[in-house]
Amino acid sequence: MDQARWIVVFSVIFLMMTVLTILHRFSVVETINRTPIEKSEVLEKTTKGEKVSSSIKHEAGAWKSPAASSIKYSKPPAHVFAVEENVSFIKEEEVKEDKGRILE
Amino acid sequence: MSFTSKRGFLLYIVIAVMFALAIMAFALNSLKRGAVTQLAKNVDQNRLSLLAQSANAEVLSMIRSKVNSDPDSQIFEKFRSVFPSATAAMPPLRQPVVLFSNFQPQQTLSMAVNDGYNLKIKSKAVLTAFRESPYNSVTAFNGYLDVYSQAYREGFEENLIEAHERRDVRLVDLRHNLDKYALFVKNYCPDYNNPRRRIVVEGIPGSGAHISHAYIGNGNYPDCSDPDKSLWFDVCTSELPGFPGFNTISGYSNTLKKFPGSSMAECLYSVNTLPFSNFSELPISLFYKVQAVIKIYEMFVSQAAAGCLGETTVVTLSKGPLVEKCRRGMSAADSNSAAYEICKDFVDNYRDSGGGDYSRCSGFQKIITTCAQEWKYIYGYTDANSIWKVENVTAGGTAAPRDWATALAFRGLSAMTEKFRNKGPFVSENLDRKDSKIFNPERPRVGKMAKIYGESGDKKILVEGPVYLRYFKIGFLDEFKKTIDFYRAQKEINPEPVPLSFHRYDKEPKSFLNTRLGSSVPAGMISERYLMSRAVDSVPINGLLGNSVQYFDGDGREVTMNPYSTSPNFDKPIQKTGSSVPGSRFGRLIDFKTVSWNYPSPQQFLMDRVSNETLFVDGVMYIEKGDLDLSGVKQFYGKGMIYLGSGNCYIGSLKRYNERDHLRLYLRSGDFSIKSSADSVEIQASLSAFFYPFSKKSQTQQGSLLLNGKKEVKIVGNLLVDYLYTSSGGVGLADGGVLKICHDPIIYDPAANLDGEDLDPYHISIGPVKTLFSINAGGKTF
Repeated sequence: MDQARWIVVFSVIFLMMTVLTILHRFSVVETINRTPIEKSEVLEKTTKGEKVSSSIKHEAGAWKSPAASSIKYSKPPAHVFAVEENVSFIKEEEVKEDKGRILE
Repeated sequence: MSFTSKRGFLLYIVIAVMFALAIMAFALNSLKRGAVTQLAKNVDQNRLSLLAQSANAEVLSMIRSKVNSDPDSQIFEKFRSVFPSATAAMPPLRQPVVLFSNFQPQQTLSMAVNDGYNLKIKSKAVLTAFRESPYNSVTAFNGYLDVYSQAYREGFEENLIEAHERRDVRLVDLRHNLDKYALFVKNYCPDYNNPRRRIVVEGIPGSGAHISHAYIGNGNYPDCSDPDKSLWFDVCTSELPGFPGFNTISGYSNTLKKFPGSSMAECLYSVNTLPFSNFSELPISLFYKVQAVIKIYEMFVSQAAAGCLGETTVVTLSKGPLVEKCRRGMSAADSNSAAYEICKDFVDNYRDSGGGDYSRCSGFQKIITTCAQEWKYIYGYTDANSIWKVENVTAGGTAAPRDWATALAFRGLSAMTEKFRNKGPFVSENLDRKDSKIFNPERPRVGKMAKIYGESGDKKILVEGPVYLRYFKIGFLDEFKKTIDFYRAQKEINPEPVPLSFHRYDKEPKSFLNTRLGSSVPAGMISERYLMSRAVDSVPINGLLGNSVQYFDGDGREVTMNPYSTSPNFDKPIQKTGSSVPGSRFGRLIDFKTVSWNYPSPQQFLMDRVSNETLFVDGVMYIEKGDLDLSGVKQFYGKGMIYLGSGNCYIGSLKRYNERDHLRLYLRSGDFSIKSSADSVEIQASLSAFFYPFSKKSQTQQGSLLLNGKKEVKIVGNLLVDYLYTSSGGVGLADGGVLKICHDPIIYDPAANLDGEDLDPYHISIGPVKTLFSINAGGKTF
């Protein structure tokens, strides 16, 4: 190929690269926002619930009766005074036949 | 012409190429808004969808971590707003409770931002309770928890993704009517007085109306003819509780006494002496058979007959032989002599009927009249342990008397003679047959009562059921010496003491022993209506607490009772006015729909919930059937109940991980069986074994605690069973063993304030399975 044709070929390549570079430069670039995130709602403390590691053995101590001064009892709720009649037990037995049967 | 000679050709080529490239650039830029945009949007949506689900998971994890263990959090409080409280009524069902509506899950946010994705996200959680348990004794709800998370990229809010998922929630109030009982035993148990296998009940440190209860029932009482099928707890002097009741009842002044002139040890609460003349309502004829009087008369007549015959040695005879001797004497003696008159009086007036009747003899009348004038009625009170060697009690519950109680005067309860089958009057009379049945083989079970007021006797407990305290009275007519004019001669009368033997109240014909006196004998709380030695067993056991006991009645009111005013204090367990459910029909219901976890077998339960000897408790957990072996579990974590539908439970030492944890084990048809290589076992849990269907008659369909020969079994919680034997063969306690039941204040009142911290009586379980899941693109629900 003569010199002129080589000039044409390389010119084309050069121009394509230039155009593509320009296109890439002007495409949407995401900027990384490094500002602190503001919470819109804070739910009190973020303390996590207590975790028990299943691999840790905890030596539970002997039980001691609390001193009378350290304990204050609450007013018992109404349902604590309810005594079920036999009809309720029969009803529970009937429900157990259905809900109490667990499918494996 | 050559290429290079064509002018403008190169320029033309360059411009053409540039133009083509410009067209391509323009086209690419426009295309972005089309399929490329759509592709990018799809990718973004997938990413946002994952982030929203991640947010949901984070929110659920946070809720789970706070809902039962962070009392300071709003989540904790809002879940419990579903329950009725003292200050607020229960909100209506299906009313949504918004836990939060604008929460930013931090972990999900950080994860996205750290990867360069400018995420905006917020979450909302809503609790809805839609069903309440239908049982009055169970407060529990079914509900669901809806969690929503909205995620979008900053600047592209129109491309918002909302993920919604729902989880089942069980909200239960673990409190129950049975929590107030430290001990509940439906059926009769023969071991309450067992001195070698003791039961100790330690009530809560009470306050006001807050007091531990115990129901001691008499179901399946042994068949007998005694209409009174109560239970009698033998007080023990060395273990008297520190309450004023016993001193009030018995007149005990904390100083033990003994009968005057005796060598017995001091073991009497009080000693009283009354002249026999106080009992004028008892006709003297009732005493004609008193051996002490008869012996004196027979001796005098024998002396007279011997005198008539000139004998120097007097042999005391009685009845027929004495009549014969008197006749011989009369034929040999001077008819004006005193001896002759004595013999004549005897021969003329003696009657052979009724085993020998001296009542018409004037000599006998003179003696008995003197006795009636001189006798002193002496009686004292003491405990069973002082009268009988209870440490050697037999399988039948009886024991040999202590030495002092076999002395003539003091053996009104314990005369070991053939007349009383060598068991003593108290035992013999109760083993007598009446209407072809033994009268009552359980009354003679003597011993030391269970320590129901704790080891130190300082913990109050209110006992329900037909339970009475028992101690014993020993009474006798004391000996005396008196010189009388007996047929013109001065004779000294010195009758031996007259033990006043126990005689069953219902036996006929009545004797002076079991004749009810009209005028009472002053003696503290107990009005003595009978002369005989007897058991003092009509005061309800709660009388030991004093004359004023405060408690919550069945309607929830704080009331005060005088235990001495009604007997028994509570025939049935305390319950609402108008309700009359017998103790044999008490039990605990569960609402199967509010159970948190269901297992078909104990094996699956253990696989799922036990790790490294630790049991993880989460609300109400139901196991359908099978034997549950917890002997390999050393501790438990959490709050809740295990309800075993059918099967036994093997258990060894089991302790709680945290002070605030508590566990209830309920067997619907099975027994607890202690399984441990150690001799001492401590179980920090509530144990209930009430067999259903409730069966009074069947011996096999009863729930119990099998102690399997252990030396010490301590239960911190409470114990509720159909029956309880501590001495039954190999399944009872070892000899000298102790069953100790400490009523845990946390079981009694799971909502108490302990060391300044309010305990939580509720438990919330959040299901692991999504029951609803949706991804919503572009729409918002909040």
